[in-house]
Amino acid sequence: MTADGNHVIANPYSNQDLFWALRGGGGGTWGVVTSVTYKTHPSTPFSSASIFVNSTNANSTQNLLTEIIRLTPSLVEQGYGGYGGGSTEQIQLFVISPNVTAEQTQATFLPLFEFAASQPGLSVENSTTVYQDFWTWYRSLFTNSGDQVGITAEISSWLLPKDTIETDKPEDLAAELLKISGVFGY
Amino acid sequence: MTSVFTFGAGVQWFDAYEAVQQHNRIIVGAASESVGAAGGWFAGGGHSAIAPNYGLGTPNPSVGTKSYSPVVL
Repeated sequence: MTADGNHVIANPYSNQDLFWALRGGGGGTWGVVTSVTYKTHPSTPFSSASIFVNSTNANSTQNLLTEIIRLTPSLVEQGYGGYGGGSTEQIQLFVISPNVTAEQTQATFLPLFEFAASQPGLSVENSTTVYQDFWTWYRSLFTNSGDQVGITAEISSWLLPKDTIETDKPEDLAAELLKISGVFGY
Repeated sequence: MTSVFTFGAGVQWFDAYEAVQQHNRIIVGAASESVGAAGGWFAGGGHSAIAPNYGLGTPNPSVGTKSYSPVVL
């Protein structure tokens, strides 16, 4: 629904400019979206890996975050995506990929898990699991509890090009992320 | 034939994911269960855990053919 009150269809064939602007142009900027038609893909198993760390040692936190950042370009190349973040007291990362076996996932993450275990002051929980489909993985993390949603926070975001991570020092990015007051997402 | 889903405003991702899985499909979507499946998520770029394989949310609303069978939730 556009600001002039017209209900229009935006797709590659009609209102192409509106369709282009809507995809990334910000919520509510171009009108009210009343429905969206999405492409879907065949269901497939997903391999997951996760690590949850409580820390009493800020140096160890930064060292672990550095290793996670250093690993990130190869994770993306292997199809992993997911969510992570934390603070000097806590780091978490949970990712999935449809293209790798359980054995490959274990091999990819074992060095990171061993590094975390070697750092003083870290309490580490880690796991790798294969889920039969996306929905099974999703339900293991999220519930439709109806709890309060939303928090009071200032947010900002950056897309980090692969070159930036590979060229710049991962330890410098880790240090900058940990300077953010509150919790950062990664 | 391309399998697509149409979500009206107010449908949240938890319900969207469940509906899509019932058709043995997956969809690029948001993390938090109560985020709306039609609207701000893809308008903000559409990050997803499966985006490295399937693309961000932004290209996925593009229905490139008219020979599809939408399922309206």
